[in-house]
Amino acid sequence: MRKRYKRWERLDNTANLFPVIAGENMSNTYRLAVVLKEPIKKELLQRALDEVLPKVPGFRLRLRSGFFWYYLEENDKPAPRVEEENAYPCRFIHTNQNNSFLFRVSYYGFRINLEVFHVLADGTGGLAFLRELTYAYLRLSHSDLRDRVGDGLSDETSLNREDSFRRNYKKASKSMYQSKRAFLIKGEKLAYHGFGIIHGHVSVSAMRAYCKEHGVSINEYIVAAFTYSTYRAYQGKISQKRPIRVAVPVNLRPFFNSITTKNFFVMVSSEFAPTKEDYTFEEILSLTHDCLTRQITKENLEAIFSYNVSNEQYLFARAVPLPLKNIAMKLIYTRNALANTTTITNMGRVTVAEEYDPYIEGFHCFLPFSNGQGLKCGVASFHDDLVLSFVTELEDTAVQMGVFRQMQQDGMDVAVETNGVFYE
Amino acid sequence: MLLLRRMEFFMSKTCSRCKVKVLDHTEYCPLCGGVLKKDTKVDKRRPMGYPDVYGLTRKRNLALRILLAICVVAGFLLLATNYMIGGRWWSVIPCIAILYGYVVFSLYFNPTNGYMKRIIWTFVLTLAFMIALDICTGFYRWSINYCLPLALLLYNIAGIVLMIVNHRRWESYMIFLMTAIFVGFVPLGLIHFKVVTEPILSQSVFISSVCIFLGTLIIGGGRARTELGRRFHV
Repeated sequence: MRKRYKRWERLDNTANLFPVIAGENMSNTYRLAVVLKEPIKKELLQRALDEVLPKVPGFRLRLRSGFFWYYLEENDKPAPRVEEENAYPCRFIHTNQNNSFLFRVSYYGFRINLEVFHVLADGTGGLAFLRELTYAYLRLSHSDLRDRVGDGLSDETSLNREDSFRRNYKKASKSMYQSKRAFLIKGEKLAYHGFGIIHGHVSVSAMRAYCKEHGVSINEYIVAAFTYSTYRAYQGKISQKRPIRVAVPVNLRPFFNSITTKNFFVMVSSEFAPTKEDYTFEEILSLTHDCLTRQITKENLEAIFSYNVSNEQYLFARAVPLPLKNIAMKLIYTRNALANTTTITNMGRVTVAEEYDPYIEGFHCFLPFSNGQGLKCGVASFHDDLVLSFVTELEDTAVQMGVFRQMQQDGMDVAVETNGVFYE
Repeated sequence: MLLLRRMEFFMSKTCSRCKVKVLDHTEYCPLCGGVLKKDTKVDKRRPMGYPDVYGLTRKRNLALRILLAICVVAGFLLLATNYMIGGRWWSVIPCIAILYGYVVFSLYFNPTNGYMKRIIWTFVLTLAFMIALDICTGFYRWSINYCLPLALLLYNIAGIVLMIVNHRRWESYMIFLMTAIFVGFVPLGLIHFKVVTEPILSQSVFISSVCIFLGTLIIGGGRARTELGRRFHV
């Protein structure tokens, strides 16, 4: 029997912003990709998606606009069509296309791409869906696998859709976000709205060995390498007034014991404001380590999101019609967006169920560049292969070059590949 | 071809300046622009590959640009002819028609525009075109006396048709009908300020908008109320 009422849910605190600021020029659509050891067959991938989607309610949603807020509503249309990749990644997902779904599945060669509008889920939620889609694909592609593991979702997958921001926030009064302008990387843009991608493959064990020796985490090392490279490339332009500020999203689930598939992260910033003439990489690494360690504590993270959630709870703010809210949110976002030089997001080590492991070569992720941040970086690792994916709208690749040269100097072998736009 | 190429063992190259391996099929380094040196050893890693979007993007929208050029040139020729002949500015009317045609064409040509956006903007643009024509021909008020209420009536009918066609999600068009009521206040305001001189049609259409909405709300029952609850959640 057909259901009479459609399930719907409010947007979480972070997601409220995305429909307001998203558009053709700033899609807020991130990409997660898995590379298999076999070429992808379109029909099988479509069948896999058709099988998995009904089992994952958190992805069977569409975005609607209400009078006061946007909201997500159950979408009972058939799964979106799987297409071979034929455009730049992370294009804006129009809510009236793609059967109104807020994600897109495509493939190219050996790679399956999942692109998700951030309003739906953060990287953790997206990765869980991509993993299930890949498992379903492999089960269809290898019948022996299906006989061995069955057809259901894996037990590591969560379908939880709680708003963990609301559940965990405490009343707060002070904004913890930086709004002072940071140094912004500018330059000649790639022609025809080009979208440049440079993937760098580095050995996880080599990087871990270096980090262990220096008492820092992999994330801190990557942020420091980016900061140092930017500092070297634009030394004369970086000052106390215009520091390099790298936004780092932090997954809040481990801190607050959450398994939600909705957004549950906050941004912290690693700031480098030079106070002397010259810095070595080791000095910047140490500064980055101190800066991030100081911020990534449960109390500080809680304070960051509590401020935002508290603001959302005021009845006066809630009762403002959506078009007025949109204007206010856009203004605040534009001011804050220029407060960061870049964003580096690290998905960490991706693991898969043992049975599927032999068929998978690797994972990578990236998010699109946005206003003021013409260069961003996504990081993911699988087994010993850590992939740094730089996306850029700029022709100049000096920062990426500096990062990879630094890694090479620190004893790590680097292999790079691009999407070809830098050769045009 | 791509897959065959990917199946082959890959001979990577190295940049002697950056000291990085480059997996792309290229002769120079994407980071520093230096010429690459061929590796002697075969690399197990294969490049992932991306489609050639750059080439395709250049060809896109050419039709729209050609059409824009034709419209601009035609408009300019009409205005120039009118100027040389002299007399009344008759050329403004075909110029407005060209502009209207171009904007509507762009609206439908752009695949990212949904049907709701197309319907609503077609109404708005057509109405604006009618009012502009009325003003250009002496402002006899036929556009606001008759066209405006008739457009609202058509808008209501479109809402009902959409509900029937998309009957599984009929309740999502409640907002569509509600906007007809809000827009219906515009002709009522114009009556008040004596801009509209024939009020009967405008008043009838407003009443019919309210009746259609209330009828849908009452007949729709729980689904209609839930839809409004969702749309107006604070």
